[in-house]
Amino acid sequence: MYGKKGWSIWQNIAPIVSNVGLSAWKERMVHLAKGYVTLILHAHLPYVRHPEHNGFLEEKWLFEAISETYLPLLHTFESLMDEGIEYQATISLTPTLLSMFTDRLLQERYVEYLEKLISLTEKEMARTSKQADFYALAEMYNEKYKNDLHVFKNKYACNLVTPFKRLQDAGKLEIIACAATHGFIPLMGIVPESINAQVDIGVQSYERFFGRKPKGIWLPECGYIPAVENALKRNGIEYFILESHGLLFANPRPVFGTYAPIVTPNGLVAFGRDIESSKQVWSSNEGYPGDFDYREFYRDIGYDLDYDYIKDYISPDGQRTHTGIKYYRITGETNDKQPYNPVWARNKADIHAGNFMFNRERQIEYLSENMDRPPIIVCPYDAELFGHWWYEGPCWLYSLFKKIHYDQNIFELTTPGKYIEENPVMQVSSPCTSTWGYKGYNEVWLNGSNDWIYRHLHKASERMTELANENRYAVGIRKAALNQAARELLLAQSSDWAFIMKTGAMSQYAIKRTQDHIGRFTRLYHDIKENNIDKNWLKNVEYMDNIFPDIDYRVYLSNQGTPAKKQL
Amino acid sequence: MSGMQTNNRYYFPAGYGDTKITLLARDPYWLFAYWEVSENRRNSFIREFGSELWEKSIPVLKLTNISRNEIAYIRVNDESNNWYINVPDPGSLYSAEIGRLISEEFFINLAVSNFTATPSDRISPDTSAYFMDYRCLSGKKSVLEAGKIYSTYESGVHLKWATNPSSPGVFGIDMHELISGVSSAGLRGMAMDENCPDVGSGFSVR
Repeated sequence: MYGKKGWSIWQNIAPIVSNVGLSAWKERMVHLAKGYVTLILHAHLPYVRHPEHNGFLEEKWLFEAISETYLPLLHTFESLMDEGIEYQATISLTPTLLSMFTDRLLQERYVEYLEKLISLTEKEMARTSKQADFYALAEMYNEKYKNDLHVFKNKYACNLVTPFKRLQDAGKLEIIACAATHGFIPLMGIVPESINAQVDIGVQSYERFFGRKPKGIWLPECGYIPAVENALKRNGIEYFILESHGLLFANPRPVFGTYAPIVTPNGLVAFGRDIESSKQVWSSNEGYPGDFDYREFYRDIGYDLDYDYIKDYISPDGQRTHTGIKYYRITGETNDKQPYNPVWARNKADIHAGNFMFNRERQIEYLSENMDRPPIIVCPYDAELFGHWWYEGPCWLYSLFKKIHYDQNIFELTTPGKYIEENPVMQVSSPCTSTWGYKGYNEVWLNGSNDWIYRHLHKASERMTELANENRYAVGIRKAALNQAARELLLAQSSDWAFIMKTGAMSQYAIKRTQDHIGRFTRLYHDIKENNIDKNWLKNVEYMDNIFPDIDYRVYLSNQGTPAKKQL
Repeated sequence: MSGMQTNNRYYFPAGYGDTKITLLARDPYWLFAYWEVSENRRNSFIREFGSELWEKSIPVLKLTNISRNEIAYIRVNDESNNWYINVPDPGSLYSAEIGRLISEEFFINLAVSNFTATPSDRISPDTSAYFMDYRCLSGKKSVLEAGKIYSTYESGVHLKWATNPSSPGVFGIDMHELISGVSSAGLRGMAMDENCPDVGSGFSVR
């Protein structure tokens, strides 16, 4: 358990919610739910494994996310299951994230990261020993990171795929697939083989990690174009998620708006994001995460404390970074931040969970009177919002699921897969090309800061298909080079690079990643064409970019029907 | 193998020696075209028509709205290799050509693009509604098993549809708000939205 000493945001939630409305829970046994809510978390990070040297800043994205999001989410889901709470949730775990979860080097480095953080928290406990508020928080972090280390090493044996798989096998989570490297599909239509490869390899990864076929897929950035349907269909995918207008602007007009899925003429089911509930959680102005009692993300001791004191815990090049140790609450629109109070924060998460549930009840009551089928409220969020950005997010989720179970009988939690099983008849309509990015289309990934990458990505995509078509039966080093070329192309296609270029921060890293992968691809292309493959260099590149160990470059062949059986 | 490196610093090539134009739709009102005209293609033009015609002609994009059978010429320049094009018609199919405009009547193309469609920006005017078991459409179940295809109206549903697509919209949703507000909420890290590109943690820029 987190925070045995009473300062954890987790403690004592159970008594607050579990004794309320037990009678309501009994009542629901004889009531049919009027509708459904489906919570979908999209967990993704780009592939940031850097064997070149230790202390790579970008690997910290993964470590922070494990401690702040993935472990707390697992703790939430497992606690609810242990307590016998009925719940259903959906999560997409991208192949890049799953590959990093199972990578030995990154597992070892995460342990080192935790050990270092624990030593920092010990130092902090000594430094703050005469400041009661801060000492208690330093102790809270010390407990938390020690617990993370224990859980990661002893409970999960350093592999986070296992507990997620266990939750899916227990019927609590529906894990959905995602494209291989989170490639941005709406701008890939020019080379359809690239869309096939992103989806095929995404599905193959899913099968490798979870031992079953995925029912649904998360389209990266909710990016939908009609051309993606062929790739989904040939992989046996049943459903995907769209931004609200992807469904609302579908043709013919969907009669139930986003409150029921539609089926495309190809037989693929599309769900649309609910506007109201997404605003409540996402919006910085109106949403919960901006509440003054919640933890302030931007005040971190990595920036606040003396350089000499903190220098061993920030970037090796001396650049100040977040450490994860943050002592203040949002407080208000002021720079005079007050110390974080976990009890207040926890209570607020509980209140917000109640508010979210209340709003869904009213929404479903109203909708169910106007529909001939149970409405479904689709609530997709970035998983990393929960815990990393919004520290109390996992706590809110725990409280919400528990309240839904005990305190109401209007709606039930479900997953998209279950909903379509129970409600298979739906309106036939073609979705609208859309994304969940700013303004709802492609502008985030296609603008003055990043538009120059597409000529290189498209050229590499064409060349990859050309190589596959010319080398259908390659063996030995030629086959290895072709497989590595496919890996380099996939890594270059991550939507994250274009996104980071747009936001400005860390754009040099995103440019370098695009440059490196396209550069390695281009060299491989020429080496293969000229039959001049440098074995040592190839070995090094395989070591650097080791994702998808069982990839088969023939996924890029033209004119394919169903995906070729994997040949190892 | 720790410490192994590829020992290469990579650079993007200035061009690929192709003569090619690609057209992408950014949103309902903007297209993006990028192109390359190879030295060989330029030389063959000059061989055929003379260097004077190259120099005196204007580099243009010829944009065709196939859905409306309309053509527009957009003046570009010899240094440019990409262009954003403002287009008035969402939900239309376009193609583009890069070439030289000799006179108002005389255009020589150098490369022709792919086709691309701008997405819709509004609710569809088509209110026909038919329903089906999704498993029939996906081929997982035979149509004979599925029973009849029935319309919404038969099933007795009375829906609050607006005839004007801009307001009040589906179940009272304001469509203007949808596009200007909530879609922007989809930006990653929206909890912090504009503050999102944080300087400290690269992870936060996701």
